[in-house]
Amino acid sequence: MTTFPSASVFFQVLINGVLLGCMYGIAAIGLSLIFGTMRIIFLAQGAVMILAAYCIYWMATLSPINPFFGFLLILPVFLGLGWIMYKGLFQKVAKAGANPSLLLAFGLMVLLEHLMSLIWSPTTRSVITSTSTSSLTLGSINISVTRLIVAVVALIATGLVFLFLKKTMLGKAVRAASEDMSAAALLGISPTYVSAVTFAIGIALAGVAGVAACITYPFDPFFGFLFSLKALIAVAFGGLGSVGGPLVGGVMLGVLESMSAYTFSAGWADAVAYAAFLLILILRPEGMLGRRSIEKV
Amino acid sequence: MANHLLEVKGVNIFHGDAQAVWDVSFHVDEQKIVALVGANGAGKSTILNAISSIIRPSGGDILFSGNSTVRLKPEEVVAMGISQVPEGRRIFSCLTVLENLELGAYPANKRPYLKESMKRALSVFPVLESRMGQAAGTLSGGEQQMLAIARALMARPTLLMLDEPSLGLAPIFVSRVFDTIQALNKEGLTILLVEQNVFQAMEIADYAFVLQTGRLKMEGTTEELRGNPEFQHAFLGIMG
Repeated sequence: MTTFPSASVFFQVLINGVLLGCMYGIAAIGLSLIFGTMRIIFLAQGAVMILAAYCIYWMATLSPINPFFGFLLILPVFLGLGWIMYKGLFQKVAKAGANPSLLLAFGLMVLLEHLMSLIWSPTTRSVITSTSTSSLTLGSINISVTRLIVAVVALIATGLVFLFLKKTMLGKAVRAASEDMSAAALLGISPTYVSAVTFAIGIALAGVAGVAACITYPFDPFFGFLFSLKALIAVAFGGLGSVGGPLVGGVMLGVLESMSAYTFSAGWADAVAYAAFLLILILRPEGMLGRRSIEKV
Repeated sequence: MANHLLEVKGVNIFHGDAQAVWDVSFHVDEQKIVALVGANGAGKSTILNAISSIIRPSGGDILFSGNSTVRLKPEEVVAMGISQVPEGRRIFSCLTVLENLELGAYPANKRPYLKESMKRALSVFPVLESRMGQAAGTLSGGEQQMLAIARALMARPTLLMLDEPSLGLAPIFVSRVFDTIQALNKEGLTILLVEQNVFQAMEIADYAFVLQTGRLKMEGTTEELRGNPEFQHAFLGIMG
């Protein structure tokens, strides 16, 4: 076990954790939104992230376009992809209940993983950006520019989703449908439409998280499941149903991992995260920040 | 015939394999209060949900102003002017009172009237005005029922269906809710009221249909039914 030799090392580790956690946070918001209307843990979230990562890898390899531009590109493309996925795959199955949808999500994850390994080969790839090696220095603390950009993007994405849910009629309808789908239907809110919208946003956020992941980490086609798990843990920390919750949960997870990687070893980071996940589920099933769910019987 | 606002014709409804409603026909005339009464499990809520197109009848037809609604989606039924206040209020407790009301005007053809509808809903339930920013879940049971009715009014319905509006309310709120239903009716709103509180329902209704285990048992004006020994025995606790 290593203790922190100085405050600046502590802050360095803390900031690394916050920046890492922002990426988990974006994926977690998508997971939480999809759970709201479909009542399933969307297991393919991570695979969708990696799909976005490969799209950016392709773009960066075949064209001179800056990978950071990928954030803007992925957002509309994955919104459309999410819409098509819901209409083509989930709309019908969702009527049969949550369990078939969960199985479908699992099947989609496996399919995406194998398709990606056929198309792009199972070799580990990484995307090099203009800022890959740059960092800002604040006193004795170094901040990776790439990760800082990822954090800023995460905050912007969270802010946009928050504004959508709070300020627009459709966003309010999404929140209402997440709370009570059949009561929403009685008001003229179409369950399939709000579900498709929510799913599309969830997939778009997975896409953005994928861009964030590929400029910070090397990845392969099967790397996504780890992110699905991390997003799930972030949701467990932050609570379902709120936008800020999953982001804060992601940051908490990032900090926890970064702290335990420093004090124990890198291998322990995941073990500590999973242990904390179980502990929270046992102690506060609704998440550390979440309100108790008001499910109607 | 011309003034049947709603006409339910020979409707059969199944819950899975079990038949819940058997060949039920009834009608609601314009600007009337019609009560659908019967014991728990008589199929009253099932019929309301069929009218709202939440469930589809396997036989028969439902006509609203002469147009069949059975193939329509729930949102199309709301857009046509049929709103339901569901049993148990079903307000969105995590949303504010204001947001609950706004969502009442969600259908595209209702949205342009949002401000106007809001004014009207608040004039019916002034108590909600001071609670607009509050999460709806923090309201009392009676206030939640008012919110649920106000939310349905936001869609400017011509037919308002209320499913057990008095259930679980303190007596003072029960009479207030029934007074409101009566007042809304006086302004021209047609009401279809489902109630287990038969005594209260008969006080305000013009006409009533009695359901028993999914079948229509009796019908008549409230005076007729009050004088009917079978009805008295079954619902008003008067022994024959």
